[in-house]
Amino acid sequence: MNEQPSVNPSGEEWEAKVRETAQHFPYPETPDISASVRPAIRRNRRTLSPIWRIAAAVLLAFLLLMLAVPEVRAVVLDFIQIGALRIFPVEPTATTTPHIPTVRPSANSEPTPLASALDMPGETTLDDARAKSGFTFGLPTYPADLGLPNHVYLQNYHEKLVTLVWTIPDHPDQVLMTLEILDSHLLASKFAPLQESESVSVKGASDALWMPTSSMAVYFFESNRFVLERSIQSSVLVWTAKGLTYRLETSLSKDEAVRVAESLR
Amino acid sequence: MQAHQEAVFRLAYLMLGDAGDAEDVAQETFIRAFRYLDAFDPSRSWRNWLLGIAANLSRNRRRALGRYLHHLGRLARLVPEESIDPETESSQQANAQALWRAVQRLEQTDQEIIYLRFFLERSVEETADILAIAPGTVKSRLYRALERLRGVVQQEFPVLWRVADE
Repeated sequence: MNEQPSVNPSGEEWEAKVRETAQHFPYPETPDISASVRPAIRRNRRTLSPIWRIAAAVLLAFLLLMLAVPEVRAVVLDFIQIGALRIFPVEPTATTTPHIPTVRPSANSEPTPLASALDMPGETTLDDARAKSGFTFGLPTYPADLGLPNHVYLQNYHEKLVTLVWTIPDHPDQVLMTLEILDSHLLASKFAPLQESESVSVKGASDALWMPTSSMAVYFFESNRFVLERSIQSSVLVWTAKGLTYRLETSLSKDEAVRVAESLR
Repeated sequence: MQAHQEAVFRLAYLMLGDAGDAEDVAQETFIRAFRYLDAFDPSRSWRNWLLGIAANLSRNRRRALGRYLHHLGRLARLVPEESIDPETESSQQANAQALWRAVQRLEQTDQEIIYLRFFLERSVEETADILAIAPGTVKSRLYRALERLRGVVQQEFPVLWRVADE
């Protein structure tokens, strides 16, 4: 005990000893964070400016108009990007799964194919997803009887992807609606026939795109590494708001989907 | 921003143990804070909000390190006395470094509360705000964390107190 004279002090003495010792901790010199962060903040502010929002919406509408011309689509446009989602145009096919063209970004590995949103890995609770995602997201309050999602998934990479799934009442194996929330740094790809897509207005959103046909989504999280791949059998509404990107998959009409998007609380 | 960058960087450094990682987290903390400025409650302390984001990002980064680094950490725990930096100038600093390594043996929630209360000298109320828990919870967690820390020191870090007594 003589070698450890201070290890068994009273609670207050012990606390005081820890406090006094910790104050002498030799931290490394603090780097100039502000100098490296300012440019990123300026960029962020620019994207939030109402003028830039309008400009982005006009540009999106123009790009969609250009997509109506096949030659222009093939030559001029490789992809369009909304928030964290990059959308590559593909030709519509008779099958439900569109052919992925060679414009697909380089990948180091093949993604895991998923037959349904219910096959997503990382199932968790709503509270856990909210706590661990690092961002604040609301839930749709329309339709009024929608209720809480039946399944919640969190892809827990450096950036986060939250997937909320509502199933058809009495058919727990069938998906009614899926809402994905992507952190703006997370990059996902989507392959879709864009000629039927249209820019739509969603209150509170910077950009919004309605895609009424089936398509395919591929997620790659880090170092261009594909992780998940999923065919989508329903229509999709994509929009950005408050730094997040939302993807709603639903069999609802365009107007109804917009109402769902605007109902997030 | 400059007024708070030191606290943010230091919390990230304590939680991650690497200056490069801590700098990355500090940068991301400010970028996120400005990105989600709409979500900031003006009745809260700006510094506490930043430290809360930094703690969250540091937690996420630690999880992302995966099993490999976890394994390395387990190996490091086998040689605690040798892990004290011999270049440290004073016995007080050596003691503080040894204390830090002892704290690193604890669960993450225990670590965070000790870092905030004793290393960064935040009050109970500030710590509660940063971690989004009640002040009473801070006190009870702190009590338990200190008891667990005492056990770690007794078993693994007798040198921590011998250095102080020399």
